[in-house]
Amino acid sequence: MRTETLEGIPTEAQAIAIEESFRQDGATSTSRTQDADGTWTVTAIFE
Amino acid sequence: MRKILFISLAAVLLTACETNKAVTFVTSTNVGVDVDANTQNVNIGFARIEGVVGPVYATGEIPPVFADIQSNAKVFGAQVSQFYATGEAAVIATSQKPPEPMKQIELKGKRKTMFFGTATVTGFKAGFAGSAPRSLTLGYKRQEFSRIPIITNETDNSDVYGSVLARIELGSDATEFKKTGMRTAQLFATGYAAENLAPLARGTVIAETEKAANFIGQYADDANSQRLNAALQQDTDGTFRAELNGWIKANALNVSVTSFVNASQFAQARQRAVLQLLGN
Repeated sequence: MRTETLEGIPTEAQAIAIEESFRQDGATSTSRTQDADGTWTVTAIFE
Repeated sequence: MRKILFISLAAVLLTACETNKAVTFVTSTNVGVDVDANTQNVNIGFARIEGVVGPVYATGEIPPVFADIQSNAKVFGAQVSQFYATGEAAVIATSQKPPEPMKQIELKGKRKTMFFGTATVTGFKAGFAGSAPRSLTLGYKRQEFSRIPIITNETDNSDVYGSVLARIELGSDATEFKKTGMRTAQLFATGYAAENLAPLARGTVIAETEKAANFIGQYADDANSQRLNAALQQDTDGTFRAELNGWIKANALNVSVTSFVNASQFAQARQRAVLQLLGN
């Protein structure tokens, strides 16, 4: 298992699009969180 | 002391392979205490030596060898995973690509003598000369050695370098081997048998590599990101995503398409990908 994380995504809409893109890459699960500065972080797990 | 050991090993390697007609590949590993009065050598802790002597071709190519070790470096309760391979087996074990279907065995043509051996000690071992101890090993010690002649293929004049493979798992639950429930497992193979077993180690090696390669990137939104994202959005059947993924892997970048397209770390590589896949 390995993870890939993208930080500093400006908007939630962009974060959702990146989650979808990770799933097309074969990610088994994804998550998004909003950071203190208002940007978003998306993490994908690849089994 | 390790410098003396390494110089000694280099001398052995060069003596064993006075010409470029063979490849000699040696590893020596010690975890724990190793004392040898004959070589006046004392090792305490983790010691590892790897060496290879062989030809370099006009193309810059070198016969492939591969050695890998994972260890917790503990004298008691040591966990060690080692892998050793030469030739096609080394290539298969380290490649991201699946191996080719099994080849037909062809043991024919000119013959030369090869040697491949391993020696392993776990626990405690003492050697005596009369009543006096001459060597002592406490912990884990392993040596792997191969000397494989290079044979020239008479049909196309290309050199052929054979495969050998050795793997040991000691006190580890990290790999496929441990599904057997054994505390120690060893593999030892040569020729096509080694190549057939290489994918088993390949999975482990790649898993270990990938585990260590979790990626964290900073989002970027440059012109090349936008071009690649636009191409991906128009890619309804996944053809371009597959093509881009192939380009990423061919350039030894171990990330997904999404990370490659959107992370600032890959700005320069993205420039090359856009030029090669989308053009100006």
